[in-house]
Amino acid sequence: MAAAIGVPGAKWKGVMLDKSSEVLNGVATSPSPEKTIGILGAEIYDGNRDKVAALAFQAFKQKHAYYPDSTATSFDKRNVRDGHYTIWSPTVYLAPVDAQGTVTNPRVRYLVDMVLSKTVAPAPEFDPLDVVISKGLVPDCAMAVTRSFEGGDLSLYSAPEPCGCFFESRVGQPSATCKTCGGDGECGGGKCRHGFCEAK
Amino acid sequence: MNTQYVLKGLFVLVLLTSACGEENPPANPSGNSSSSGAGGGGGAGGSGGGGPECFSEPTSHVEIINACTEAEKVDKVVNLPLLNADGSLPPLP
Repeated sequence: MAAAIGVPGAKWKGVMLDKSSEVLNGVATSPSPEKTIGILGAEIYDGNRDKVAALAFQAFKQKHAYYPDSTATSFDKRNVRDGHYTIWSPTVYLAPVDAQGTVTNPRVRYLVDMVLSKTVAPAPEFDPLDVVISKGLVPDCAMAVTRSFEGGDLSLYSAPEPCGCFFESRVGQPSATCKTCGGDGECGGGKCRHGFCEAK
Repeated sequence: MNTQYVLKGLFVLVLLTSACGEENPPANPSGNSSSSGAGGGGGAGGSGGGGPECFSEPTSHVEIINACTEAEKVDKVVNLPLLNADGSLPPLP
């Protein structure tokens, strides 16, 4: 957030709260709600929209402000995915890796690969991607933009194994261009992923 | 030890619901901000400046954040009393 608005974290005024629950409660119970702003992960906000409301954000050189979702009341994270809402950052997991960047501990690797929606063996009895989406997060495979550092400029992005249509089906209505499938043969050269045709 | 990027997380600014109207459309009787849906124009807020309203085939950062979209737009009317005449801001305290 500090990077997005160009104000170093050390220059911020206000109250530092460590827990999302504390931020949520602090904003929701503020005696001066019109003067109170908090910063919260969207996955927390989404479960507490009855208590607080999101502000639209307008980035530098942006002509309008936007919510993370396409409307104030939707949950589709469309503006995050396509770059209209710029205040996001990757969730980072730390693990020991080898020279090739592969997580060395097999159990940790299994877990990380599951969260990354890579194919793992044995296959879990659930769809890990579905779990990630259900928690209010946006998986990398659903993003159409990326950035190389926190607060940096956005650039177009095409995930190696895209899942945009599946994501949309879980948070609302899939786009009109999305087509359900049962196999790659139904996707005209594309790939059938999580029940939807994707470009690759 | 190395890092593994896993998911895209994100942060949002939140404001008490009781303060509705300032940001939460469609209620905005004060004109402090306004929202528009698909194709809604409205005045370009703040730092928008000139140039096309939106970009249908964006490639650069500025074009991406101003790409054509049917998403709800909010136009903010900003009041920056410390803004210098040349558009710059004074040093942070």
